[in-house]
Amino acid sequence: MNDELRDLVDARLEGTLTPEGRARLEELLRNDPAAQDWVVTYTDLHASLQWERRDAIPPRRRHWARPWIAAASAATILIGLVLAVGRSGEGARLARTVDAEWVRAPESAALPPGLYLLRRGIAELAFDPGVVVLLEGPAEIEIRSGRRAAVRRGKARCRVAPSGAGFVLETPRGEVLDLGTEFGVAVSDDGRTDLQVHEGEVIATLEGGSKQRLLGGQAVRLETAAREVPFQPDRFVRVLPGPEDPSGRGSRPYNAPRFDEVHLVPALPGVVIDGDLSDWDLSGRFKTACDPPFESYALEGAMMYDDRFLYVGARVADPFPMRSRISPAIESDIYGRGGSVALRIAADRRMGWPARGLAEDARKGRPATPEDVSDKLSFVVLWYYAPEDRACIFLRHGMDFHGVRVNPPGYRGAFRRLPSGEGYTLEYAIPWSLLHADDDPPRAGDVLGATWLVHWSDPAGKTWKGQLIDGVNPAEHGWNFHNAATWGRAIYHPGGRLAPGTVRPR
Amino acid sequence: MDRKRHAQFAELFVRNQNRVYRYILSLIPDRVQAEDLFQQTSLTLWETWERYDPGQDFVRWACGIAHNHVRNHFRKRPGPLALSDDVLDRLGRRRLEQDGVLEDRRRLLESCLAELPERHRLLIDRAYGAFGTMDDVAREEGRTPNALYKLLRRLRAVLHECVGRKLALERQA
Repeated sequence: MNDELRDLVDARLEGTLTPEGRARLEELLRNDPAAQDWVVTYTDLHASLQWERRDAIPPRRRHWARPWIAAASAATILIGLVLAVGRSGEGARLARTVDAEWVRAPESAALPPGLYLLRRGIAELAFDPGVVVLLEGPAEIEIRSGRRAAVRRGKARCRVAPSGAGFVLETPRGEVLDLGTEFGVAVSDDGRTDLQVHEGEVIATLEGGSKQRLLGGQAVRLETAAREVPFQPDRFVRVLPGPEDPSGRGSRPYNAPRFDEVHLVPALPGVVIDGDLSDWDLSGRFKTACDPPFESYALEGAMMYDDRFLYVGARVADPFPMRSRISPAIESDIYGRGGSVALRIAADRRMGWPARGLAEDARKGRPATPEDVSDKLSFVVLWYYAPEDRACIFLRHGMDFHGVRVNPPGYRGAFRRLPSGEGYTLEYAIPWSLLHADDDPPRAGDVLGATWLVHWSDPAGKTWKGQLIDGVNPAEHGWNFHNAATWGRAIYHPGGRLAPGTVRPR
Repeated sequence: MDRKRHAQFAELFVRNQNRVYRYILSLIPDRVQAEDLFQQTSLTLWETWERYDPGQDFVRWACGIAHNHVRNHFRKRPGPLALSDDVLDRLGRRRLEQDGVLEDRRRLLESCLAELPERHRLLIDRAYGAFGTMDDVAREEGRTPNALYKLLRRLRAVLHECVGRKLALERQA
C-alpha cells in the first residue's frame, strides 16, 4: 500500500490528522476499492488490538464523555424496555436456602409468579437459564416471569450468565436490564435504591425514562437522576461468618479442592515485581473459589520459576482487600489472619512427590525422621501490612515449624488493589535460598509438593473469617500442616505457554 | 415463542458484541468516542430487538444501527476525524462484505502477536490497555511520544503484513 495512504490512516488512528489530511484521505479512498480494502483490514487490526485489551481499562476511564444518555422522549417512556412484553407466565425455582424464614413458606421449590416475603436468611432463586438471584432477608420480591422480577425491599444480588442476558430487575426507583453480569441492589424500607455493578454491564432505566449504562465497579443511587455513590464492595457480599460462628465451617476450608496439581512455568525474563501480572506467562494459572453461597471469594494462582527465584502471582477476590493490620514487627502465630495468601511447598528434589513429613501431633509418639524436620519443607505466608504499605513474608520450615523468619532480605513483593475494589493481586519473587533450596533448586521436569491457601479477614483486617485450600493430593486425608503428603503435585514445566487443557480441574 | 426469540437475541448480542465494537472503532478510531457510540448502539439494539428478524444476519443488522450512530456523530462533530457520508458508507459496506475475512484475520492476529518479541507484545498491551494517554505510556516506557507512535506504527505494519501472509498461506492449503 502506498506510503501516503498509510501515513494518513496512521495519523487518523493517532488523532493527529489535519483537515487537509482528511480531505486527501477521502480523495484517495473515494474511488479505489483496493485502498478501501486495505483501510478496512488495517483499521480492523487496530480495533481488534483495542477490543482484546478493553477489559484492562477500568470502565470509568473507557469513556469520560458524559455517561448520560438523555432519553426523555415520551416514546421511550412508553416503550420502557420492550422486554416487558411477552411474559412467560413461569416463575422461578428455589435453588437453595441458608437459614431462610419466609412469611409464608413456599409450598414447593417451584415459585410461580407472585409476591414472596423473606423474613431472614438467604434464598437463592433460579430464573430462566443463566439467571440466579440471591435474596438476603428481610426482603420482598415479586416474581413476574422467568426473566423479570421486582425487589420491593431488601438486598438482591443477581448473577446473569451471557445466556441469561436480558433479565430485568425492577426496583421502586427504576429498573435494571442485565447484559450478562453480576450486580446488586439494596432497597431500603422507604424505597431508596442503591445499585452497584460488580462485573460486566447493565442498563438502568430511571423513573423519568432516562437510561444509564453502568459498568463493573460503578455504584449509583437511583433517584430521578442516578447519583454516583461510593462503590462498597462488601455491601452485597455474603460475608464469611468466621470460625466461631456456628453457621460457618469453623476452621475448615470453605471450598472443595478443585485441583490436584499446580503448574510452574519458566519465568519470563525481565518480570517486574509490581503487583501487575500482565508481564507473566499465566498459562499455568488455576482458578478456584469457595463453595456457594460464598463463591465470590475466589483465587487465581500462578507460579513461575528460574534457577534463582520462585515467583508467586495471585489475584484474590476479597471484599476487604489489603486491610491487614497484623504487624510484621510483633510476634504472631498467624501473620496471615488479616488476609493473606500462603503456600506450603516442598523444594527437596530427592524427596519427589508425594512429599513426606509429619507433624508431631500426627506422628503419635514416634520420633521425628529427618524429613519431618526438613528445612526444605516450607510454610510461606504473603500479606500486605496496610499501615506501612508493605508486602510482607513469613517463613518457617519442616513439619515442626522451626526457623521462623519475618521479612528476611532477598525477597521482593508487591500488592495492587483491583479497580473494582473487590480484591487484589500480589506478585512475589522468593529466592530459593529462603526455601533452603539454592544448593539444588527445582528444575524442569521435577514434580514436587505444593499447596495454596487463602485467608480472608474481617473488615478491620485483624481476624480471619474463612479459608480456602487448593492444590491437594486427593489420595490423602487430613490437614496440610500435619502431613506433607496431602500437598498437591507441583509440576515444573520445561517450557512455558502451556497448551490449553494442561491445567485441568480434578 | 417470544421468550425463545428473546433468549436467541441475547445470545447473538453477547456473541457478536466484539464485531459491533470493532466496526465502530475502525470507522472512528478514537477509543473514547468509540466507546460512547458503542454504548449508544447497545442501547438501541436492546430497544429495538423485537424488530430484529431471526432470519436476518445479526451482524449486518447490528452494524447497520452502529453505522447510523457513527454517521450522526460525524455530522454533529465534523472534525478531521470525521468522514463524509459517502466515504463512510463505502468503508462500511466494504467492511461488511469482508466480515468473514476479518474474522479469519482476527484469529491469525493472535499467532502473529505470539511471534513478536516479548517486549513489543508488552508494549502493545500497555499502549492499547493503558489507563492514561499515550504520553503517559511513553513516559513509563522512557520514550518520547513521537518515538512511541513510530514504534506502534511499525508494529501494526508488521502485524498486518504477517496476518496477510498467513491468510494467503491458509488459502493455498
